[in-house]
Amino acid sequence: MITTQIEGTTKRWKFVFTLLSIVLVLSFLLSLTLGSVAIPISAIFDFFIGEHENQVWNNILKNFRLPKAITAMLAGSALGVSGLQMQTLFRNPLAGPFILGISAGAGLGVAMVIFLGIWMGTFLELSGLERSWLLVIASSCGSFLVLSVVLIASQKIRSGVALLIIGLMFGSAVSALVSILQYFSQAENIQAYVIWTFGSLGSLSWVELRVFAPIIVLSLALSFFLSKQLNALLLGEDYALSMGLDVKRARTLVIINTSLLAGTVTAFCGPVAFIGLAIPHITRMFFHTGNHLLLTPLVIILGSCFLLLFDVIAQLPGTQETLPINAITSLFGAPFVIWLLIKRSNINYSFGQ
Amino acid sequence: MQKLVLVCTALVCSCGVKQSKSAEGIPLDKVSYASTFHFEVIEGQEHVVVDEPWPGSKEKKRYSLDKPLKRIVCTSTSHLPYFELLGLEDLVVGFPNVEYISSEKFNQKVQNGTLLDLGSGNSLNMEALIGLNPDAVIAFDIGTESNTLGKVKEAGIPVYYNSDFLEQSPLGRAEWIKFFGAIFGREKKADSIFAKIESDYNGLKQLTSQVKDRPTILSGVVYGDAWFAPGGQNWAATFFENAGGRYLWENDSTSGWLELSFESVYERSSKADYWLGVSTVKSKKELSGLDVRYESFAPYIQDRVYNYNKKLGPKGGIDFFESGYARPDLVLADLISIIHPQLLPGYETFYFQQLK
Repeated sequence: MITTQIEGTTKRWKFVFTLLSIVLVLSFLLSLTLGSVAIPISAIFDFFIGEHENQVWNNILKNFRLPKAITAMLAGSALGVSGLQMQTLFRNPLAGPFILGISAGAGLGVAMVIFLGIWMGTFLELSGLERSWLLVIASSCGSFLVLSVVLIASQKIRSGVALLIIGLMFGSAVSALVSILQYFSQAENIQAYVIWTFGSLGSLSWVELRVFAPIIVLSLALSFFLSKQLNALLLGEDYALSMGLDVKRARTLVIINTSLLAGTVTAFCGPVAFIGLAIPHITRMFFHTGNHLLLTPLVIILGSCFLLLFDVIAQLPGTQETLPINAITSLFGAPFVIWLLIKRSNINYSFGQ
Repeated sequence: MQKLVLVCTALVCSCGVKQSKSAEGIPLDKVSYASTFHFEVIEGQEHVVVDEPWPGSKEKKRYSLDKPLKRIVCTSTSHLPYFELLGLEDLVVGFPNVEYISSEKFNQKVQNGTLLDLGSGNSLNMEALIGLNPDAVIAFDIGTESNTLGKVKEAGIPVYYNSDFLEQSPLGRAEWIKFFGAIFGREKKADSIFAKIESDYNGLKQLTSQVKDRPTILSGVVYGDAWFAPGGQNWAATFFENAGGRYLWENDSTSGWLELSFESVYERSSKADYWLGVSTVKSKKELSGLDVRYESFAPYIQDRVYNYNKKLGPKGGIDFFESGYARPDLVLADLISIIHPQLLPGYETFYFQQLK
C-alpha cells in the first residue's frame, strides 16, 4: 500500500513539473514576442531557425529580448530560492533575500560611486574599467561588507532571531549613510540613484550575462545540496542537532549561498523587490509541501515565470514607454498573494509543524 | 470691417482706462518670446511680473523696479551667465554649492573671497545667508524648494523667483536676461544683448529654413531600463528643428522628457543620422563601456556621435548646462555646423564635440 501511495505521489509530481515546464517555456516565448517594437511571430520563428530577413528585428531579439528574458529567469529563480532559504533558516514567514541587509549594503556601494562620482571619474580613466562594471563591483563590495559583518555575528550568536535583528539594524544604519550621501548631492545624481533603485532587467548585455549566469547557476546548484539540511532546520535547531546536523555550518552555508544569490542579482539588476518574499509563499500555498527537495525546483520555475510575466507588463507592449520593473512586481504581485491568503485563510504551513 | 476695428479699439481703450484706475497694471510690450514673465506699470510704477513662479503655480509674483538691487544671492548656475553678460558679476555675494560653477570669473570670485559658499546639499546655510545681508535671493523652485525659500522670506529677505526653466523656446529662455537687466537697472544693456542674440539666432535659423535634406537626430542615453530623451516640444527638440534637422520624436506632444524602452530606440536609431547629447560621456570607448549595445547604433558606426561637454568647469561641471541657456545663438550655430557643415564653413564649435 505504501508503495502505491509513493508511486501515486511520484506520478503527481511528475505531472506538476511537466505542466510547470510548459508554462515556463510559454512565458519565455511570450516575453520574446511582446515588447515595445511589434515583431510578428513569423520573424521570431525565423530567428530561431537562424534566418533573418529583417536585421533590426533580429538584433532586437538577439541583443535585447533574449538577454532580458534570460536575466529575468535567473533573477526570478535566484531571488525566490534566496527568500525560501532565509524563511526556513529563520523560521519566519516575513524573511526575504534582503532581510540581512544585502540590498542596503549594495545600495551603499552604488550610492558611493554615483555621489562621489567626481573622484571616481579619474579612477575610472586610470583603471580602464568600463562603466557598466563599476556599479556591479560597487554593489558587490557593499553587499560583501554587510555579509561579512553578519557572518561574524552569526558565529557569536546562537539565536536566529537575534541574528535577524542584527541584520535589520545593520541595514538601517547603512541606509542612513545613503541618506547622508543623498543629502549632499546634486539633483542629477539623486535621480541616477533613484533610477538604480527601480531595478532593471534590460541593462544586461551578453557581456554581463557571461559573468551573471554562471554565478547564479552555480549558486542554485548549491541550493539543491542544501535542501536536506534546510528540511532538518525547518523542524527546529534542537531537532536538527539531534539528527546529527552541524547547525552552525549549515547556517553559515545558507547565509553565504543566499547572499551570493541576492547580492549578485542586486549587483546586476538593482534591488528587485517582492519576488524573494512572495514566490516562496505562493509556492507553498499552491503545492502544500515543506520539502525543500521539491520546493527548490518549484520556486526556481515559478520565480522565473513570474518575473518573465512581470517584465512583459513593465514593457507595456505596443507602446514606446516602459515602467520600472520594481513597481510592477509589487503592484501586481501583492494583490495576488493577498488573494491566495484569503482563499486559503491560513499561512500555518511548514513553520509551525 | 472698419466698424469692427473701431469697436475693438474702443474695447481696448476702455479696458486700459479701467486697469489704470484699479491696482491692475498696464502690460508693457517689452517681451517677445518669453511666456513666463512680463513687464507692467502698476500705479505708475514699473514692475516685472513672474506669471508662473514655479511649475503649476497661478500665483503671480510682482517685483517693483524702483530701486535696483545691489547685493544678490542666487541659487542656480544657470543664473550666473546673465550676470556675466551684463557685467554685473560683483553683485553676486553668495551661492550654494560653489563647486558646481564652471564660469572662470565666478570661480575667481570664490577664490578671492568675494563670493561666499552657502553650503552644499539641498538647503541653504541660513545663518551665513543672513550674515551676508543681501538685497534679495534669486531662486528657482521646481516644487521642492519652498521650505527653504519660506525661511528666507521669514528672515525678511525678498525672494525673486526665476522660472526660466519653464520656457519652451530657446529664445524665450534667453530673454530672461531682460528680467535680470530690469531688476539691476540695466534694462538698455539687457535689451541690446538680447537683440543681438535674437538677430544672430534668427539669422542662423534662416540659413536652414530652405535646406531640403534634413538629417534625423537621436538624443539621450539609457538609465536603468529607460531611455531618457527630450520630448517633441522640449527646448532641445526646438533646437534640432531650427538647426535643420529632423528629431526622431518630433511628433511627440510633451515638453518634458520621454522614458522610452531601449529596443524601441534601437529600432529607430537604425534610421538616425546623428546622435546629439550623450550624458557625460567623453569618448566612443566610454559610451560602449556603458552598454556594449550602443556599438550597433547607426550614428556610432558612422562616427556621428556628438556631446555637449567640450567645455568643462574646473571641477567637472558641464558649461553647456550653465551658460548654454543664455546663449542659444551659440548652441544653434554648433548644431548647424554639425549637421550642415557646408552652411558654416570653418566654424569652430563652442559647446559640442565629436566623440572619438
